[in-house]
Amino acid sequence: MGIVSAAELACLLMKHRAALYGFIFASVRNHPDTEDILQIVALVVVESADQLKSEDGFFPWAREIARRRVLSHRRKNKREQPLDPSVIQALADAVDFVESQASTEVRSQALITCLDSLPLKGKQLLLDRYNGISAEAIAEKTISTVHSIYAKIKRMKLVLKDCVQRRLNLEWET
Amino acid sequence: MKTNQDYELAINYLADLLSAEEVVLFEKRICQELELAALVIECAQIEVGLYEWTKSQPLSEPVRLKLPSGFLGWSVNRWVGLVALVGVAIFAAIFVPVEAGTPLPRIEETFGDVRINNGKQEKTASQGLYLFPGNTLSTLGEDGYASVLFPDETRVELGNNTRLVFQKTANQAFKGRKLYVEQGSLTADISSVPMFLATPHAEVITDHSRFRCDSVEEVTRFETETGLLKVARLGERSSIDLQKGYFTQTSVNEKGNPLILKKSASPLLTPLISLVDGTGPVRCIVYAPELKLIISGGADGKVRFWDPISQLPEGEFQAHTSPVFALAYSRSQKILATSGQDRWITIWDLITKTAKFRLPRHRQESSSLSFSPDGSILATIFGTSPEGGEVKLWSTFDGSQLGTFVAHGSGVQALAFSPKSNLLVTLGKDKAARFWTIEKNESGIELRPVLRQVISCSPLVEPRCLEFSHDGKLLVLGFSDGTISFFDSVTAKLLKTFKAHSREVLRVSFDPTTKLVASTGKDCKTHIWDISLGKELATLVGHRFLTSQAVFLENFNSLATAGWDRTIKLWKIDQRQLSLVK
Repeated sequence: MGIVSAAELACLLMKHRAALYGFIFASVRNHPDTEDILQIVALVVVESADQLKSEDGFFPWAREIARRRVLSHRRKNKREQPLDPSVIQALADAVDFVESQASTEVRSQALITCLDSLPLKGKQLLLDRYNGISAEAIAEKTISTVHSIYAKIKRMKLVLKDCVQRRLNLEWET
Repeated sequence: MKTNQDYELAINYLADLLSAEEVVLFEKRICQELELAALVIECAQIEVGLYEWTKSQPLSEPVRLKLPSGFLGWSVNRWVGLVALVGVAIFAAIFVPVEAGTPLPRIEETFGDVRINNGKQEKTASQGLYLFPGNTLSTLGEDGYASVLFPDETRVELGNNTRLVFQKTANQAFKGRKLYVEQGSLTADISSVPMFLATPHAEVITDHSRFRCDSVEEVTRFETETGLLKVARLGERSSIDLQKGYFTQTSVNEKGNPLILKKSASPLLTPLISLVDGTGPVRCIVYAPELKLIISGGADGKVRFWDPISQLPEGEFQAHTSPVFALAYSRSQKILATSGQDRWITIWDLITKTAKFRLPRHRQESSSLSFSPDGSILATIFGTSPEGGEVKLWSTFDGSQLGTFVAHGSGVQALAFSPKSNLLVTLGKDKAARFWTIEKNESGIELRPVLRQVISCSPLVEPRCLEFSHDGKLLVLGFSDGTISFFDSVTAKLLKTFKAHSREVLRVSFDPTTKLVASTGKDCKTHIWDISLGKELATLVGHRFLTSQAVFLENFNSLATAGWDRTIKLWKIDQRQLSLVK
């Protein structure tokens, strides 16, 4: 073991899990593959803990491991992954930038607060969609069109995005 | 600067709504503008946040339970069946806890070559990985093993060469708990949450039970160790209740016939205690009666001592740099021979616990060692590969090599000295057991074949292990088809054969009175046989994986077994009581 103990390493992994997940998801764009890759990243992190120079350097180091795993995943699934390696590198740089602005933990908390403020119908729509119910089925259930379901989901995501940004700005100001 | 359009683009990008050309354009912009890439990350984080949030929310709709088609007719009357179905559905809706999002099983432990296939790609399975519906977990080769732990503490353990599919199901009651055994064997310890398990020939629903399932070629066998299983032939309506101590088996040829309950052949015994080695598979074990110690070989190369009375560890020493493969103990010299995967063989003085000699490194690891009755000679095999049909003899006084002899045309599988004479028996890959005598002459030592005594085995099976009785009169051989056979060691005449295991026999061991024999096999079980009665006395169930070896503990009426589940287990063997039970 390097400069951090196994317990500290586990804490660091938990702390930055969401940020790593976000980066991997942005690159591969589906949850099962993201979870698979994240598990491999966690294994590599534990196995190569000796290479970690300092606790502060954990996130960039783990993110670099994640980037390599994403590239490796891309090589194996070339047909399904249109992303260019340079895009993955750009996203890797961006996740460092985003994390330096506000940690994923803070962002997640802001998102939960914003979700609470959504109307019940909107929340139910998101729940149904993310539980794997097709847009067609939701449209049938709510007596509307598929197009309007997609539009509503997109609108709600925008509302949530703005709401999260507002809450973060508010936090910085206070 | 970011614009509203950029936001929309980023969100659309993540929602997979862009065309291929737009993706290329967008990617170019991401590479050039950090802010836009950051925006994509922020949007991804919203997606992830929503995904996580959804998993933490309770289900909004009531659970609808659907029983698999094969179970629709558990009751004779259709109406009674319907009422029962509604009752089960209400029970499940009220009592079966269904979490939002599937509570996924994880891999708890693996040995050997274990793979996960998700339908698109295959990868090596390792500890901690989640198993998603649609995944197939395979244990490959003779050493393959995997243990899967569900969130409710249900544990499913896969034996070697087993393929288990985690099936997708819309039925909430079995979500994440619908398994299909394509082939191989498993042991399942099911908690209060019901599980559905199918094989190519049968289906089972159960909870609160422990059972074993073997699905080999065209036959499936279920055996209940605790609790109750509902078993039905695949696609048939009638089912039976399989209780503790019973087994049933079914094949495609018996379609339409009712399933038959059969009582397990012998009482199932459970261990007194488990001594935890903890480092990996325990491949070998011996008992030193003079020292009253059990000696085991660990996966970390250490030899460990255990006191059977206090049931506590009594010390250890580093014998090898890799797993210990074989042990032999000489009662007359109180010396121990160890063989490791590192291909070294070392002779140890057990009084001082120091190495006496290290023998020259072998070409392959020696999986079988044996001391002559006076402890002056150690016999080792030179490897099980086809070109390694040689036996080497070593002096235990100075570690010198006494001779190398070609015993078989192909590799030697195992060897054993008679405890009462200079007779040595070798088992070859040529499916023969050969008898040799060791004779000393002026030029040294000679290994002479006893020409009349050759045991030729059936071409369909391979001999795997052998052991002499303590009086040297009997010889027992274990075979790849799960049988054990007893031979007269003087005439090589076959006396008896038992079908002992459903899979390959790994080791056999006599008790000091030559009344009992213990056999261990790849089916994870140990069987105790009464030689004079010609019957099985008990089945020892407790090891979670291969049981590598069993040894009787003289004067303790007990038996110690070593397993690949990293434990050594002690069992009380009261012969009189077992006879009464029988």
